[in-house]
Amino acid sequence: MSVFHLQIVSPQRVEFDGEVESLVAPGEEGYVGVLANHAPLLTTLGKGNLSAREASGEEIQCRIEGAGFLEVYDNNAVVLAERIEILSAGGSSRL
Amino acid sequence: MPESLKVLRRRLRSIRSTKQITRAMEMVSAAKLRRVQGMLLSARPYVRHLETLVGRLAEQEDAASSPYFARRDVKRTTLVLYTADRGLCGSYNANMIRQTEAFLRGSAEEKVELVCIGRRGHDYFRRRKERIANAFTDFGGKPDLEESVRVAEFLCERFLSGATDEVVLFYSAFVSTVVTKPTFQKFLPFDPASLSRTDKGKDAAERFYLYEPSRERVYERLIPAYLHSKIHISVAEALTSEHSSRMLAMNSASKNCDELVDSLTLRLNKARQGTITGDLLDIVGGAEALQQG
Repeated sequence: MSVFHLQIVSPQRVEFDGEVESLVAPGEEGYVGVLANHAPLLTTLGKGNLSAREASGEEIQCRIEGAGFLEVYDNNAVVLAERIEILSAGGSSRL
Repeated sequence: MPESLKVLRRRLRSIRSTKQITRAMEMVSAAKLRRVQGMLLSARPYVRHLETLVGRLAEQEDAASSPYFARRDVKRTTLVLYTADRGLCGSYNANMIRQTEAFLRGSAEEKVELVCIGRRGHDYFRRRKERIANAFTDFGGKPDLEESVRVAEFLCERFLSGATDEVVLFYSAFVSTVVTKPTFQKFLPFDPASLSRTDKGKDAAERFYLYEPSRERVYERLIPAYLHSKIHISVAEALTSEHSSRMLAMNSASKNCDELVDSLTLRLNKARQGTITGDLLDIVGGAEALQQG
């Protein structure tokens, strides 16, 4: 399965930076699923859990609170949120 | 007349203990500096990403309709002044206050209102009866997002309600441990030209996004988030500058103590030698008088 680049960034730090196969993010009006080669997307995020799966099968899970955004463009996904709590860090690509 | 040994010893002792204090404060500041500097560096990617997104909004033709972009005749300017809560940080506070005063003198009377972040600036301008719209003194030496959000919301509210026509941040930008640069930065109205864009020109115009739930909604939330982060990072810059100034000030204070201790020790030794020589002369003189007698 092809992968795309994901960055999860909070004002405190870059929480995750690496390649993932899939991403499910808590959009403001429902969960949004992203796979590789997704169309350009810019969405607001609501409160909720975000999960992503790395090629190795490791799961990244985190909780998003406060103002949040997801941008997808050209196989690059960026998750921005004012408060991010990492629940499970996934594999080695975590910073 | 040789200096009194007692007085010299007392001075020496007091300077040594002052030195211990300044040394300790230097260490504390160094530790705090490392921490806030880390926070500053790790907050930058977040702001940069938001900046790119907001920059793209600015390219849209209907961007000017956003109330955050509204350019009005400037009848009132809000100057946000960042100072430290405490002193003993060299010229840091004095410098910020002096430049703020120059700014106030340079603009028409009653035109500028102040928002003070940090106790020092607030105390100073309150005594001088300047117009102070609000003061935030709860940062307590570390950048705190919640508090930054409160500041940003207050400023936005003031701008959007028309109470002020322009908001300018005045903080000390952190360049390196020895160089900090007092900086004026326009906060509102939003100036698209001020955004550092990484993807200028080329592909930016070709980016057609799917917006969820809608483009308006996205930008309605994006701009405040960006403004929050802007305050957050400027607070981090100011605090980093503050700690580095304090560290340098305490470092030179400790050095001055060393110099004083050296020169006092020399004087003390001379004085002691002087009394010993005097005593010896007395004894020798006395012994000779006895022999002759």
